[in-house]
Amino acid sequence: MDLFNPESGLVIWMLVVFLLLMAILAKFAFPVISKAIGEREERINNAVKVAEKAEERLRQIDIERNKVLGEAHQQQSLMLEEVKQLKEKLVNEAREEARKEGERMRAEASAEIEAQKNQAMKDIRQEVARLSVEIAGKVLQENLSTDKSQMALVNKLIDAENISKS
Amino acid sequence: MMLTVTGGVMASEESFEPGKFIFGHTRNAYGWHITTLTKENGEKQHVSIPLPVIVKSANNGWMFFSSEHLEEGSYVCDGAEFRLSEDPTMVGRLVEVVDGEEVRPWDLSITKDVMEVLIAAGFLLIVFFSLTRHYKRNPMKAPGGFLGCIEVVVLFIVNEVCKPCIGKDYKRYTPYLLTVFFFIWTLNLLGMIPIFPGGANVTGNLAVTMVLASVSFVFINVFASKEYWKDIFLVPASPMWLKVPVPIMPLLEFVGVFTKPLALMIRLFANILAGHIIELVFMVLIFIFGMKSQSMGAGVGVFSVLFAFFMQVLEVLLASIQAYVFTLLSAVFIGLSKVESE
Repeated sequence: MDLFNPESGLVIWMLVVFLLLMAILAKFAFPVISKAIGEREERINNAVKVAEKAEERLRQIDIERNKVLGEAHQQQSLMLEEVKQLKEKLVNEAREEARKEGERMRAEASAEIEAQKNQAMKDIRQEVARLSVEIAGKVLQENLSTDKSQMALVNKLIDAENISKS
Repeated sequence: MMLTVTGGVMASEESFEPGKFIFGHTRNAYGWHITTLTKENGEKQHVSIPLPVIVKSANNGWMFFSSEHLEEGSYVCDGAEFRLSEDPTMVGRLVEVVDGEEVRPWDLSITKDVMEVLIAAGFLLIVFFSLTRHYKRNPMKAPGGFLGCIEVVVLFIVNEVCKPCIGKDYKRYTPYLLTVFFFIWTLNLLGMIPIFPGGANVTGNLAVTMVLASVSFVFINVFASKEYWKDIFLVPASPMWLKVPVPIMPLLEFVGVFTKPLALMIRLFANILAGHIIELVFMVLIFIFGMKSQSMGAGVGVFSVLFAFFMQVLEVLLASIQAYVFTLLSAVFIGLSKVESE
């Protein structure tokens, strides 16, 4: 069969053309292509890396922001708490002060009243004594007798005087 | 191919030999036959693209003439007579008649298959230099369209075939594997186009696959590691009695060195040739039945064309698969020859 009998001419041409094609492509085409593809690949890889880094940074910034925000929030509530306590303290102090002042005023007032009452009692007693003396004088001037009822009255008056004085 | 078929058969209706017809269409030729017309007076006229015939005549030295001259029997020029051989081992090949005997001269003609190889090579040069120019002009932009497809295939061959099969030393072999893949692929696909610039059964020609397999053989064995040769001649994995006194295993291993590229050669050749033959058989069926009766030929023709279409679609797949398989197996064999001791 001529099918299995390779033609030498075709073999030679094929070998020459194939090797030449391979040499030309290997020298001028494939290095350029593989270099370009490699560079592009590297660039894409770099871009991906940069993007990943940016994303990571963004995430960190987000975390930091949340942290700062949380801290501020905490501080705020702390301050509010303090203010509240301060307020309560102030109010309590004021209340206590007022209570003390009131008490003091009441004490003063009652002392004054007591003093005035005593004064009034003293005055009344003086008046009573004076009146008694007067009355006694009158009684002595008009009815200085041994009348028994008269005597009883005088005694009684004096007793009363003594008792109130003592 | 179909157009060629119809034309050829019309002209030779009266004496139609299917075998001769089929192999005539899968065989290499000196001219690029397109069709044969039958004139009103019954005279046949070949329509073909003439190609240069370059032969070294026994007496006249190198001769150069057009293939047109070979269409009408023998061609006599400057005392040298040439004709196409009828010898069954080299049907259709140019022979010089010296003293009444057929002598095969040195024949470097640009035959149909050589022309097809040149066309494929030219096509690949254009494609790859367009791609190179694209990268030089805009280095960071991926090419689109056809060049984009080529880039994807190049990347596929480099990343999925060369790297995994060969390993760390793959860069030395990528030019060969890329060239061989694209070369076979282009030739396979060109072979499916019925008319010029396609239609030549190049990858289904043993001479071509032989060259490709030989180059693979060189790439497999020339840069092979020491371990590879040690494994072949010492075969450390097999028991002693298989090596001494009769070196059965080393012999087997040594034969294996040659059977690997041989398998590459036969596989591509047989697959592509078979594809062409199936296609032609479907066409031939029409005329075999057509000679019995015209209506039968027409009936069979419908099915033949349908089947031929189906096969053609399959062939497109096969054209790519065979190119891929040749490349992949070459890479695998190269990888095997790069074994390192653990």
